[in-house]
Amino acid sequence: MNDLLYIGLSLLFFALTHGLIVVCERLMGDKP
Amino acid sequence: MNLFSWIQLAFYLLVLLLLVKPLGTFMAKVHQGERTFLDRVLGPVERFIYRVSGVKPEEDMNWKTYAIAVMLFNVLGLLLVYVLQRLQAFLPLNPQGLGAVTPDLSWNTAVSFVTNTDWQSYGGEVTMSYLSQMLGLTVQNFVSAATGMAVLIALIRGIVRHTAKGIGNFWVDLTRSTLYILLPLAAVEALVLVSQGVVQTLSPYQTVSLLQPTVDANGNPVTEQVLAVGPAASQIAIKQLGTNGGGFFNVNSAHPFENPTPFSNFVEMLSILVIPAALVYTFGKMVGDTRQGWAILAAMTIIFVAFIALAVWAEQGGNPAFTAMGVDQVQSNINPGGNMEGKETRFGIVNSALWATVTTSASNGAVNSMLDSFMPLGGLVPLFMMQLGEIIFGGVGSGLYGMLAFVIVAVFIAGLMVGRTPEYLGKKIEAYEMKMAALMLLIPILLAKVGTAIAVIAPAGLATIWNTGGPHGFTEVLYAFSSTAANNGSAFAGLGANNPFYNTALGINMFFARYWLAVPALAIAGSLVRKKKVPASSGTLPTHTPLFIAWLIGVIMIVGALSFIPALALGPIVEHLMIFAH
Repeated sequence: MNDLLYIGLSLLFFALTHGLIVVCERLMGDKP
Repeated sequence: MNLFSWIQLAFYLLVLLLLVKPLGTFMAKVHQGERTFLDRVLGPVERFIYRVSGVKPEEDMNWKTYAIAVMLFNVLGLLLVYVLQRLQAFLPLNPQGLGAVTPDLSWNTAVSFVTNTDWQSYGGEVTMSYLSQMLGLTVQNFVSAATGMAVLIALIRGIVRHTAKGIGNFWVDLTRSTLYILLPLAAVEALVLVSQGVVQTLSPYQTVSLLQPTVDANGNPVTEQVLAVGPAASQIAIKQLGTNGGGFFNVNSAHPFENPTPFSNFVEMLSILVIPAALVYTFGKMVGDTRQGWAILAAMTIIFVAFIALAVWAEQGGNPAFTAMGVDQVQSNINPGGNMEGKETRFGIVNSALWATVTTSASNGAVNSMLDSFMPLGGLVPLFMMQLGEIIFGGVGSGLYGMLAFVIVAVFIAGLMVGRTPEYLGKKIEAYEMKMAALMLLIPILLAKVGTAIAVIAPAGLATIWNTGGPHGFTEVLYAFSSTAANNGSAFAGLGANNPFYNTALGINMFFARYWLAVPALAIAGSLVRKKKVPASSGTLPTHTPLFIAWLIGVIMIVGALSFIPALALGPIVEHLMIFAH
């Protein structure tokens, strides 16, 4: 159970970081 | 401080600065794909790695592809290290039969090593099997440092190239950093450490007879002692070189099997800063103007020397409470003097205070003395060095890309003051670069302060603060969150951090401090690389002059002071006033 929690947390944080990449890309004006 | 103290400090700085140019030049050649003396041996290995992994080395990634590659590589590493620790009881190379590491500690350790922090809520010799140490932690020591170096090199390419999109290939940068720089240096250092007596073995722990048998608390005779050993030298070499800091043993580089002699101490201290310092010269070489590198190095060195002086002065001054007890703290030929609590007699005051400053300027975090035992102002030095953002030399790669964020801010503010569009090395610094630089400056500050605030309010955070009688307990918490927010990893070890609350909270700090700085750094690279190069004009602010060095130092200190003086006032500053009030 705890293993799932921490693995899930890792994947969530990486997903959030991917979100940061998308935000930075949008701010740069690469996407409309 | 006596003459020998000054000589030791000056000698360390001299050797470090002498190594900057040759190593920096070599690293520039490696990262620019030029031939080096290692090509004949390592070139075929490099090409083999690309062939089996399917990497196309000629592929030039844009910043987004580069950032995603960084994240993919790191998430896989994190999960691997997590699984290794959870399954270590069933895996080979576990002669002590150590059980699975708990989920929260496994996660904290995995995040810690993947992010180059090496915060350790555990004692290695009673927690980690040899396989976990070697395959999990030591491998991450190499690749986390290589990741930091890769991000830096990508940023430099963003500055150097113009009207382009590509900033390099992450897999090539990672491979070349590891193969040509980290592995050879670590191999040499490991051998030097073994020559000094650092252990390197796969044998089980050794049971030895005591020279002077004793009795335990129940009066039972104790005639033997178990000495933990292991493949330590190979881990310690890259621990220092890669600004990782995670020790093989619990007391880290204070342990005689990790750091037996003054010479091993000198070599380890030197290896902590040599790559970060040399990378600043590499930066100058790659941008085609070494004065730029020297200017940044000068700013770093000035701040570094000032803080070493404070740390040594504070520790050599001793503790008035000890004086009141009749302890002789006067320095002499047979007495190191000063505050020797928590310090090894083979290192003394100067080499302990110097190490503490070195390790926290470098995002290393290894210790050769117990920082929790430092005087308040002595402990404030490592704390504030981390709070400045780990940019005084800093971590491998991450130190300089963090510093370049400060440079961008400094150039931008200077440009505003004179009414010109700010530019740096021929690239205009505009709103986007400032937004990304602001993220890089503010995220560590936010993580350190919000984390500390939550921990000193939440019952779970308060429960394991053992120093509850005064400001020192607060300082321990502030230190933990500042350390992880800077990916440093050192600790005031009086805090009980091995529990789900701190393991999770500090793990969150380490994760965001690493990747939410690396992504904006790569975004800056992506923005700069597409710009045209603007020729310097009479209105361009020179960024290699003493004026700019002073300005940069001012910006760094103002940001750090404004962010952390209130918190420091509640911790080490008031503790200092309380001790010396009596």
